[in-house]
Amino acid sequence: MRAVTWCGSGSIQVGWAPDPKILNARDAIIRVKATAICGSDLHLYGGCIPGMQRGDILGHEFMGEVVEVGGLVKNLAVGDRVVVPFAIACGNCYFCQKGQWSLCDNTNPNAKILEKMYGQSGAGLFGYSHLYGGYAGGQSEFVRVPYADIGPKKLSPGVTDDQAVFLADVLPTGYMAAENCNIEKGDTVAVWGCGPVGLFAIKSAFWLGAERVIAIDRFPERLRLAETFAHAETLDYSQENVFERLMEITHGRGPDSCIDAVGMEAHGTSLDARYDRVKHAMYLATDRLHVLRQAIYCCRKGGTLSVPGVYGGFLDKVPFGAAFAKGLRFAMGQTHVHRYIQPLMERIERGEVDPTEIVSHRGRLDDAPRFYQTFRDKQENCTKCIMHPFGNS
Amino acid sequence: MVQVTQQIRANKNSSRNRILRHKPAALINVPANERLASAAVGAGLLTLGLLRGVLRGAGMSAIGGGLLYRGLTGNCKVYSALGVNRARTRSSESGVESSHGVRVETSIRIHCEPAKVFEFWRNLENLPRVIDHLESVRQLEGKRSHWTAANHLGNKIEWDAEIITEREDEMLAWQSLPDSHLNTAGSIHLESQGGGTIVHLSLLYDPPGGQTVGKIAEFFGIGVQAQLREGLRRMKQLLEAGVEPTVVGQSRGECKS
Repeated sequence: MRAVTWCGSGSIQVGWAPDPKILNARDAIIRVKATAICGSDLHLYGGCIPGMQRGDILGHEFMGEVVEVGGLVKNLAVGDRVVVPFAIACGNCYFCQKGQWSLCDNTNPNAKILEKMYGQSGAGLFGYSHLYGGYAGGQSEFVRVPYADIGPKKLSPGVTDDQAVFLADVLPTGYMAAENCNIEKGDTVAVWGCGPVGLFAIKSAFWLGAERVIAIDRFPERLRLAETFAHAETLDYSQENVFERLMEITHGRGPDSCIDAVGMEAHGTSLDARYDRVKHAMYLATDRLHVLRQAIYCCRKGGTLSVPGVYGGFLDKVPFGAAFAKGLRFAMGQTHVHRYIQPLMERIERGEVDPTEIVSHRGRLDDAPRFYQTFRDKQENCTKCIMHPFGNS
Repeated sequence: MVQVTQQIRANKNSSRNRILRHKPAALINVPANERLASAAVGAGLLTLGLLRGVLRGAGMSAIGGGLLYRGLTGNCKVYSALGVNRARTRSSESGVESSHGVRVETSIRIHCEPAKVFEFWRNLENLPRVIDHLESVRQLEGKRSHWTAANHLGNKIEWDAEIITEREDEMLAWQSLPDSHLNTAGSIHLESQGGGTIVHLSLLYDPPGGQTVGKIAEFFGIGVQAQLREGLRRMKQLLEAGVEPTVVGQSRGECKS
C-alpha cells in the first residue's frame, strides 16, 4: 500500500509499505477513504516530538471502510463506514470507564517510557511517536485499528467522508476545549490560534453560551475564517497589543476564559517570544510558550485557561505566580474523542456546522510532502489538507 | 511507588514472614577476607599519601584512610547505603537466607476480580507472557515447576521451585528448591477493593553476580524491580482488555535516503 512516512525532521515521503494485518483479536483493518493533516502533525514534521523513528507511518485523522475484523470485534462488519478517534482506548480500564478515553491505561505498549517522562502514561495514539506506542497512522491506504470494538464509530449516511474526518480529532478537540471552560451565558472567551482547533473552539464556545469570542492570530486568511466561519471578533497580534485590546473589550476585567489553541510552537513578536525562539533553536527548551504566558496574563481573575494545543516538555518562565494570584483554573489534555463523536455528528447532520468549509487543500497521498510544507509555512492560505488515498469518490 | 527495601513489614501473616524474614542491618557487613585486603591496601595508600605531603597526597590519604577504617571495623558505608551485607554466608537450604539477597516489592491495581488474577498467576506457565526476562515456566508434578530466565546479557539461568502456600483468590507463595542455581522466594497477595484487585508482589532473590551487583542494578532501574513492575502492568493490560497492546508485526514505511 501507499503510506505517508516520517523520514526525519522536515522529511516526509510517500512510499510503499506492506498492507497491515490483524495482530490480535480486537483489531480491525480500515480502508482509508479520507485522511487529514493535523496541526499537531506539524510538531512531528518539525522534529519537536521525541521518539519518532524513520519509517513511521503518520496520520491520526482518518475515516474509511471496514475491510477485516478480528474475532473479538462483534460490533463492526466488513463494509461499515466509520471514523476512528485518534486516541486508542481499551474501554475496560478505570479511565475508560470514567469516560476519560485518552487517558486509557492499557493501549500504550511503551507506557514504561512515557512513565519515565511524565510519571504516568496516557493512551496510545495513531502515528504519534513511539512514546505513544508507535502505532502506524492512517495517512495510508489501509490502517490497522486496535481495540476496534471501542474506537471506530459508524457514520450516518447524512455525513460526508470529508465531514467525518473532522470527527477524528479537530472538531471534538475544539469542542472539548470550549467545554473545559465551563462557559456561562454571556461570557467572553479569547481564543489564541485560528487553525482548525481554534475555529471549532470558537464555534463551540458560542454553542455553549458565550456572548463574545475574540479570535487572536496574525494570518489574514485565518482571521477571515474566524470572522466568516465562526463569527468571532478578531485581533491581529502583529498589529495590536493583545492585552490592551482584551482589557478594552472586557472593560478591564479580562476574558472569562482563555483558550490556547496554539501549543508548543507559538510565534510572537514580544521579547519573551524571541527568547523562546533562541532557546528552542539551541535545543535548550522543548516548548515555545509565548501564547500560554499571554493567556495567563490576560485571563480574568477566577477564570479558566483551557489548553487544547499540544505541549511536550518542560516550560520555562511560566508566570505561575500570576496564575496563582488570580485563582485561575487550568484544563488541558488530549481529547476524549469517543465522548464527542455522536453529539457532534448530530450537529453536522442538523447543519449547525459544516467543518469542510475550512478545507483549503484536497489531494491524494502523493501530495503529502507538498501539503505538509504548505501547511507548515502557511502558504496558499492553507488551513486544512485532506487526502483521499483512493481518489475522491 | 514501591521501593527496594530491607525493612520488615509488620503484621503480615506468618507464611509471608517466613519468606521475607529480615534482621536489622548489622554493623559488620564486609566479609573477613575482604576486610584484610581493604585494611592492607588502605594502610599502604595512607602511608604513600602522607609521604607525598599534606596537599598533594590528600586524596590518596583520604581513600587510604577510608579503606583502612573499612578493614578494621568491617563496616562499609557503600554497602550500607545499598543495603548490602556481604559478611553473611550462603545457605544451602531452600529459599533465600535472611539478610541475604535482594528484596523487591511492587503492587498494581487491576480492574477485575481477584479470582481472575489468581487464576492467571496460579498457572505459572502464563508468567513468561508478561515478564520479559522469564523465558519459560514448566509445571512439573505436584506443586513443583521448572523456571528458565535470561539476563540482559543473554546468560541463561534455570531453577526449580515449589509452591509453599496457596490460598485460592488470596495469596500464593513459592520458593526455589535446595541446590538450585538461583535462590529465590516470592509471593503475591490479592486484596479485593472497589470492584478491583490490588496485587502485591514480593520477591527475594540472590542475584547472580552477588548482592552488590544486584543492588546497583536495582538502583539504576534495570533490575528485577523494573521487570516485575512492567510484568504486572502487562498482566493488567491483558486481564483488563483481553489482549496485549502491540505493534509487533505492523506495517512500516520506507525512506529513500
